[in-house]
Amino acid sequence: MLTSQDIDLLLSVYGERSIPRFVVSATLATELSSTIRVARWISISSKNAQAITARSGSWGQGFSGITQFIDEFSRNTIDCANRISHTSRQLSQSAVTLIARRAMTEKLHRVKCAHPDNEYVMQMEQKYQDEVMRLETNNERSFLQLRKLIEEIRDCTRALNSIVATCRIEASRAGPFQQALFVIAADIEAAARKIDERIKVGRKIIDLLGRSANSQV
Amino acid sequence: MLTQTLLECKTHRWIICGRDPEKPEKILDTNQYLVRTDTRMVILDPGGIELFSSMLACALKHAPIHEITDLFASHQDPDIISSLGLWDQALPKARLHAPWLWEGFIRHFGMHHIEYVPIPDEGGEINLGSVSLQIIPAHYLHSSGNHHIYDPELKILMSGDVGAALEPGQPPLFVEDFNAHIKNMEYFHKRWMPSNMAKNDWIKRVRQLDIEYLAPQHGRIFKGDDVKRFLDWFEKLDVGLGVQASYRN
Ligand SMILES: [Fe+2]
Ligand SMILES: [Fe+2]
Repeated sequence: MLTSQDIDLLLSVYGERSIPRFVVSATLATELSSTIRVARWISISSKNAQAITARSGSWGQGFSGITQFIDEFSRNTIDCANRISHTSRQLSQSAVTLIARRAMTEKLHRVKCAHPDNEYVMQMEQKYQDEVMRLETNNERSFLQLRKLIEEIRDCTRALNSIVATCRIEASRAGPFQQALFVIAADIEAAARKIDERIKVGRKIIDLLGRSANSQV
Repeated sequence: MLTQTLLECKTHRWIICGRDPEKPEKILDTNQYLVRTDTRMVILDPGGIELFSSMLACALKHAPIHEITDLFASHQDPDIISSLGLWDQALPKARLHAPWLWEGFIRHFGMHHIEYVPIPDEGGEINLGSVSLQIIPAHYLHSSGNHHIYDPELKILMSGDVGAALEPGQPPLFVEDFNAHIKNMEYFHKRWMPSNMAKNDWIKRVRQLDIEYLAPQHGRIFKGDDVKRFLDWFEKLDVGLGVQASYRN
């Protein structure tokens, strides 16, 4: 898993070269997939808490109320992270295809300059130019979509964090079940912090993706 | 693309990437191997251009892009290294270890940033800092300039096209029944391997190594006693079938 410093390092290791878009988007897909694992863990923990509160009668009522919200927000986080991973993987593939189409367009252009009357070469060049434009438009759309999704997932984790903060308070009111619920509350808190860190890294990668938008690769 | 750790120790681990469900149907399935240390990673036989996106995603699961510092190409075939032009753009700083014989040929795949480290005919080593991998000569098996990678610590021999099997679908990672597996690899070895002399020379060299896993570039991995079974079987096999095949019609 990358840290914020790793992302800064990435910028420097390429030196004069720009970081290829297909690398940045594939990196984003990898980073966000670890969020899915952590969010699943939260979902499981909240289910464990539900099982405890079901046995605890009135003692666990407070905690029971919040587990439903935790479960819901962790499911939303998983869904959002899945969509980010899928879109960024697609963008990475499409950015690789774009490289090949651009290279072909460039070669056809050279052939056209050498044989300006050749109708077939002209048509081919046009075909490839159209394809390059289509891919550029699609990739831009994917980038905007990713930017939107990362804000969505951030809102989701913010909500999750604020609910998680109340876990300990509710656990402290659970009498004989207090200890078991404390353990779960600590687990959920730690996991939510991990997600928070991932989202921060994810936002940095999106920034990087924005910067690589107009580069050749 | 499927990815799984094969073996690991304190300093490093071996990972296989392959059985790609997104692979175009008519493309031969390949195994790519990663050797990951604390701070570096080498990709052994990184694969063809069509597989690049899946392979990049797979590699990034195990190391960030700047820690992929080395590539190894056992020989010049497109299923081994035609993705080079894209790795060349992807990696900020990397070396390609490949047979000296093929440098002028491999550069046709496009290489402007990666450093070509020519492997001499007698082999050598890939130094990854805390880990050193041995380069074992395997000329004419099947390519005229060809090497395998041996890890003396984890006892893995990455054997390129030797031990390869052509099986449809998604076969398991390991050979489960050696005798049943022969039919999947017999024609491949008879037809793709050109020289009995080269084959026997390689077997003699490899028998001196302590091998737990023999990991080919296509098909299943041989484990434990199946490694010896494979060497015995290969020793008896008459290769170079193409010479007779050219007179059949
Ligand atoms: Fe080959
Ligand atoms: Fe091969």
